[in-house]
Amino acid sequence: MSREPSTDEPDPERAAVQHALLQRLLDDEAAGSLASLQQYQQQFPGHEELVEDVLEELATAREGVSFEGRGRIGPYVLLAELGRGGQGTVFLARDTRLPRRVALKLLSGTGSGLASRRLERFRREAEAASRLDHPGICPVYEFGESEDVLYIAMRHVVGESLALHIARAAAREQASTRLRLPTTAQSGSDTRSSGTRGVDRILLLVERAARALHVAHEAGIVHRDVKPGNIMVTPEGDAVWLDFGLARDLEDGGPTLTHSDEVFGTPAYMSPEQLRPGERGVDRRADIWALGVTLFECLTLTRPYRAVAPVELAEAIARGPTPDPRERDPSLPGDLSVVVATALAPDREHRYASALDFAEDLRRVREREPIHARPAGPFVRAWRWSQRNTVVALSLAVVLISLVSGLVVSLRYADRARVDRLAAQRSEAAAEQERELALAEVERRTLVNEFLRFVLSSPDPLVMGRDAPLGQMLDRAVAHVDARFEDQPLAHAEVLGMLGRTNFELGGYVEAVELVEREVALRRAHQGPSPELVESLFILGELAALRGSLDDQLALYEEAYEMSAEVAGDAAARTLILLAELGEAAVRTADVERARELEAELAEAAAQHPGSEVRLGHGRLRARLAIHDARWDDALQIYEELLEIHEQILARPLTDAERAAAEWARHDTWQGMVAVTARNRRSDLALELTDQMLAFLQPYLGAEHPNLSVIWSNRASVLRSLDRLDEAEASYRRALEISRAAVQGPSSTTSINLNNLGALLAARGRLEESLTYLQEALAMLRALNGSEHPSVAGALGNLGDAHRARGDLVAATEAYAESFQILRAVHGDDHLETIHQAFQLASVAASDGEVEAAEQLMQLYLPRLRALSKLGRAGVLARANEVARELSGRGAHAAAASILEETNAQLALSNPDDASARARFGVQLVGELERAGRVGEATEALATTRALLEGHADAASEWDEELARLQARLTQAGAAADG
Amino acid sequence: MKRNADYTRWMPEPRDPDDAFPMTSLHVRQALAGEAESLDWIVLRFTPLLLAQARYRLRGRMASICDPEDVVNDVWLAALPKLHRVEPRAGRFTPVLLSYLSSFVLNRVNTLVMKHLRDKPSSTPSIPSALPAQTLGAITRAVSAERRDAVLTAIEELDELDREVLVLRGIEQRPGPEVAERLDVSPGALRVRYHRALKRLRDRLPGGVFDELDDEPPAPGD
Repeated sequence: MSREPSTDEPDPERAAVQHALLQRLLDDEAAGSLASLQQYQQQFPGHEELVEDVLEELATAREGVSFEGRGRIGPYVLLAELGRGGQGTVFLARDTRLPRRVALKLLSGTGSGLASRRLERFRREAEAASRLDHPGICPVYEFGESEDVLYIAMRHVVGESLALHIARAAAREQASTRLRLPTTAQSGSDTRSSGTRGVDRILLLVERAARALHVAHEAGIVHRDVKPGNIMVTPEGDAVWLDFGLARDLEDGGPTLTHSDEVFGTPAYMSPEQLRPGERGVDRRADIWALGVTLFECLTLTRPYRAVAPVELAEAIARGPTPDPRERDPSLPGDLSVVVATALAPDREHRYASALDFAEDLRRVREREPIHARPAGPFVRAWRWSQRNTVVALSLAVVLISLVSGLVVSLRYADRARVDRLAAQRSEAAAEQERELALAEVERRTLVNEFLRFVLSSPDPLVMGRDAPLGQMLDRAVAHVDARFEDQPLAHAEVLGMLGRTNFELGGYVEAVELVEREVALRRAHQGPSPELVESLFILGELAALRGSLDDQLALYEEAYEMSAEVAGDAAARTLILLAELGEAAVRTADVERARELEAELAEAAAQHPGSEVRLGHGRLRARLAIHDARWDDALQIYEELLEIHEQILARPLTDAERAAAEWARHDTWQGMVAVTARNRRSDLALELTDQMLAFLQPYLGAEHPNLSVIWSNRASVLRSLDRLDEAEASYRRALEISRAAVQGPSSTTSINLNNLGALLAARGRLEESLTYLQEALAMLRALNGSEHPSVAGALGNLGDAHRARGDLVAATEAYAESFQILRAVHGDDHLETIHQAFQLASVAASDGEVEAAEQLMQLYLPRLRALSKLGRAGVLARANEVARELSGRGAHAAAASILEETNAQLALSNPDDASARARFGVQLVGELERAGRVGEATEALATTRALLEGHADAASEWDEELARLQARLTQAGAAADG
Repeated sequence: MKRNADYTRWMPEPRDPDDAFPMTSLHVRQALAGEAESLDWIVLRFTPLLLAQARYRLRGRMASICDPEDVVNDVWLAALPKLHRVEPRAGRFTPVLLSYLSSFVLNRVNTLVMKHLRDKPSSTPSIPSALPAQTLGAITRAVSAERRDAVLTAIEELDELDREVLVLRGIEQRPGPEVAERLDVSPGALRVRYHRALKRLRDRLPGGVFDELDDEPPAPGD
């Protein structure tokens, strides 16, 4: 497929290679020595497809490449040489009669000089292949002759030969190299995952090749040259047979073409009967042998027999034993040993009788069914059945419901009679399998149900009755679970997981960690990668985060994601949601670059995925990144988009459990909006949201649930922005109380609550008390996140404020400076938080008499604010104005005026309609210009300020008096200057 | 006695206000916000580098196929409307922008050479533009002789190998080992050459666009 380079999609590496190729082509053309396609491909290894695209593109407008001096054979224009084989040369050619390209096999010198045998063989290939109609067999379009050249026109199969794939894989040096094939198109509704997807792709490819070969066999044609070089692998992973040049038509009653001392085929793939010269009656089973060798080679990247010469090879085969691919790779499925041994049985009577039988056994291995080549034991049957049909297995079992919802366990499918009835409807073998598994499942479920009955009952009704606290029931369950499930590891794991999740939901994080860790250990040991283990790893990650171990969370999320990709597939909804969670975890550990890469990966997948949950996960990650970048307006817009998705989900018919989960997800989005809107000063909306959340969640979770700590904290921040400081302090204290009770010791939530409460107390003038909280917060954050984390920078900023309020400018400067350096390192110089911290530092420097340092900082950072998010800029500009005030107090009026001119200009851009704020800025500028002796400019600034207040009666009334006073002073100053 | 804090320990390295290093990031952001003047600034700033790259790439037999100025003109028309795809790296736009624009240049050169090899008519496909007239004017001015000479002349006066190093390493942002292999020099020799070339250019045009190219000082032993 040709792809012309597009100015729309630069791919630097591809462009560079293409450029080098074009230079080579220009030089070769000028020298009159254009090479073949293969030669150019060899000159640019790893870019074979690009080379073919370019040459194909160029060749369409030119004369064909030469074949014995000709560019055209019959109706075909030669474009590029594709390869040479024993029978002839193959070219890519254009059919001048039809809009198509073909693979044109040419045989020259068909005059009297050509052996009639060769000619006859060539003709026979064409006739044999032309009778075959199967997508796995390269169709022949026509056979003809033009000026002494015989040709066969076939479909041009795009792809690479299996031999090239094998050679490439074998050339890699990694110990665990395996053949990697393109993703195969799955047939029907087969979306199951496989523990070894690479092996399954190989099996599927060879199976398809075998099925196509069977069609040829049924048409009476034996290929006789089956080998990887004659199997093309398309980009979609399909197998297409090429080159029936040695095909023998079994129905042809005429003389065979095999001379007594001629051996045809490729020796390494020849069956024992082919290796014996003069052997008559080579049948389809020779092809099956060769396909068996091919399969062995695909699985192990080596051939079963090392001998090269036919005689040696025949001896090695006769000597035996048949090589086992599992000796080269023990991870291969056990049944493959039998399948390969059957295909490579030296005595063809013991080989697969047909390629179809071979194909079917390959399918059985892939689908974990018992192969026909060897009967499987009952354990193996049951294990395979469960691997193959997990969903069906579970549907026969009992469904356990969360203890929180309090539903009673059902034993609907424990009815053995029902199981027998179901089994009777199927074939005998399948019924036997299902019965065994169902009984095993029933036994497991029965044990779990009995345990639950025990948990819910009590010998002493005075201690535990209908109103017994759920927590006490959980404790009882935990105390007895190990003894009950000693020999049932998966049931044990299931119950531990249930108890762990219930503790988690109820806020018992410490208990939850222990239980889920034990569940994970059991599943790892007895189950391996599975959806259940994925979820458990995810919950452990959440618990790690709640306890402040962000790195642990990241590692657990990574593992969960990779396992989900393995068991459910890269494109599965759950996998994509985990990818989003992983991205958010990366942001929390300040690995923002990684988070951006994950977001980009998810963006591509989420656009294709219809599931709203995936879009929610992607949106949350985008919002998180926007918040990190201080792009508040972007974050708010994203949250508003997410709210729409939540509404769509909640409008569907949902079960109670689904609705609870959907409501919870929406509250998560609300929390994000609160944080952003609070920064945006839309405090009324933020307060409304937090009150809604509390009203919704408290009855559901109870007043002490740790999740409520965050909501109380957000509420406090909003109240603070509304100057309702008593309420804000009470909310912060409540938040801290809940978070300390939930996790003993350092935790992210506790550190944030300490930080926020300390900052508020400092603002309220209770400085010594604030220092206690702020220093504890700082120590906790350093311990949890490391000294270079943005959260530490935030805590240092607050500590600096407190020190400054106490008058300790040295301590304040140290704290601000350290915060500033962290923010520069993490965010760079063009970030709202860095700039804000620079202003803080400038402010304290100015207070400390370090005018030059303050000026320098403002010159470096104030202009940078222009290009940043408008949301939140006004607050930072106000901070810049404070610096100007400090500088003015130190007599640096020129610098102060310069700052105020810039802040006024920026405010006009970002908040053009905020007349009151603009007037405040304007008044400050007028005053400063006057102090700087720039009366004329001050007068102009005053006029500008008056003008912007027109039409804003409230703001005008607020500033009328001050403006009049300034006017009077300026008039006086002007008169004095004139005088 | 009150002790003042030591501000020198953490004060960022002073920068000349005219130094364009932080300004590129600023202007890119402002350009993304739709400010035409910033678009113009970016075009004027980077056109000489792209011209140098286009000239390098269109050498030898390719020189007669198309004009480097036409290539750069077309690249701006195509790349500027897509500027929003550029994301800063560690807060800086310059390296990412250079990599992005230079790959457009290479792509455009390839397109034109392919058309030449296919014996198509010499007219090249026009690239539709959604840019404002002011910016189109800025592109024309930037590509024309009167604006770009100082920078381009400085590059042209480098010796051939230094010029090649500058284009591949500095403008196209290719990794050092890849460039060393292509030019058949050791990585250490490449670092020395690149560093010296950049220094020469920076001394020649202080405060100019060469300040924005990432330098790789030679390692001990180079």
